Amino acid sequence: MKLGDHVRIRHEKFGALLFDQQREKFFVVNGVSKDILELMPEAETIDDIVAGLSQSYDSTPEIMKRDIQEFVEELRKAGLMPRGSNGS
Amino acid sequence: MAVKTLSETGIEDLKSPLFFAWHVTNRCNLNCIHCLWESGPHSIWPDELTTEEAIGICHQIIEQQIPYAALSGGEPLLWPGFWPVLELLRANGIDVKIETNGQLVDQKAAERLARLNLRSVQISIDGITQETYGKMRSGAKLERSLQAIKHLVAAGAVTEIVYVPVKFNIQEAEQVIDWAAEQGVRAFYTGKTMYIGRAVKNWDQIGLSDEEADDLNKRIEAKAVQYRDKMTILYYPYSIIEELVYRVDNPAASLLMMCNGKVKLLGSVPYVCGDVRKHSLDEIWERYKEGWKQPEVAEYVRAVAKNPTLLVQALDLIEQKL
Repeated sequence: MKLGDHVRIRHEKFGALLFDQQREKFFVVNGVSKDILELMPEAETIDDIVAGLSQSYDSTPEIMKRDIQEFVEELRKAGLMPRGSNGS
Repeated sequence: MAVKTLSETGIEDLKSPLFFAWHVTNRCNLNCIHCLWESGPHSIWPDELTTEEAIGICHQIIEQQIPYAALSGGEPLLWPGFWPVLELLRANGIDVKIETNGQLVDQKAAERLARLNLRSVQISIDGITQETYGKMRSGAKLERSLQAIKHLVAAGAVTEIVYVPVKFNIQEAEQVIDWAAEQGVRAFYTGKTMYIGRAVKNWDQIGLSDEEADDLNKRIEAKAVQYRDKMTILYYPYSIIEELVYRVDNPAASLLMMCNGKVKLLGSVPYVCGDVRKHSLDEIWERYKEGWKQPEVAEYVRAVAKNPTLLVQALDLIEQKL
């Protein structure tokens, strides 16, 4: 699971900045989202990200999974993650 | 956990800018009728940054993870630091666009630029006949710039055209677009000519009426539809004043550094918020954000909105007390 090859990440105090090099557009995300993005390259499924996050965040796996799914969908809508990338 | 755009969040919390506009030299091989910076063969500034100083700036850009830079001038290819700076930025993953008149881009230079995989090479073409182009860009040979575009496209560089519309060239815009589409140019950009620099002095020869500008906009839009699957065609509809009025409340996440290292709030604003010879880029970014909030900036914008001739002050470099 990963962002498009045209997307670069810059860490910020508030989270991260995503730079879409193709469209020259910038997006910002908060700290939790930044942590999810960092876990994505090694994750094959959303459950892998939930497992990674559970070490740092005090929330139920169900809620985390729902939030991550929503986030992944937002990334796709923003054109930052290819549709084929595994988000199930 | 929303994905937000920068226009929703503003720039205040960003650790560094997102775009670094670098006016690398004021020297130019041409003497264009509309030139924003009044560049020319004898217009080099006495205190321009040395290549060594420029390399130091590059290291700060890289360290601060500024993702995107543009090199312009004057003519950037005349600047001794051009290739070392460009190559250093690209070797460190910084996206770069260059803005050139194309007169010095021969096959060898085009291939070297293409190898650097730049975001784009923007070439100014403001006419399809030598008569029109030469009137616009005194001393220029249209064929050289057209050839530069052919070399760049052949070498695989992302090539774009910038077209400055004036009274005597607007009827050639569509022909330039057709030619560009045929060559494989990626984009064609145009918009309202800026009332600043040498353009002010020549406004009676170049300034478009509102009707002429609207008509051009419509014709460009029609071309954008015609070539929608082939090339980006964009007419930037805002005037320099409209942009200023917007920017005073919404500063861009960018820095504009002049060739002597002084950093302006915006090209059309005379205020300097920092100087790379005195401040780090990190400091300048904070000063830039503060600079926009100073009352003199809003006052200046109000004044030029009422009386655009005051834009002649824009080329001054007035250091802000920050």
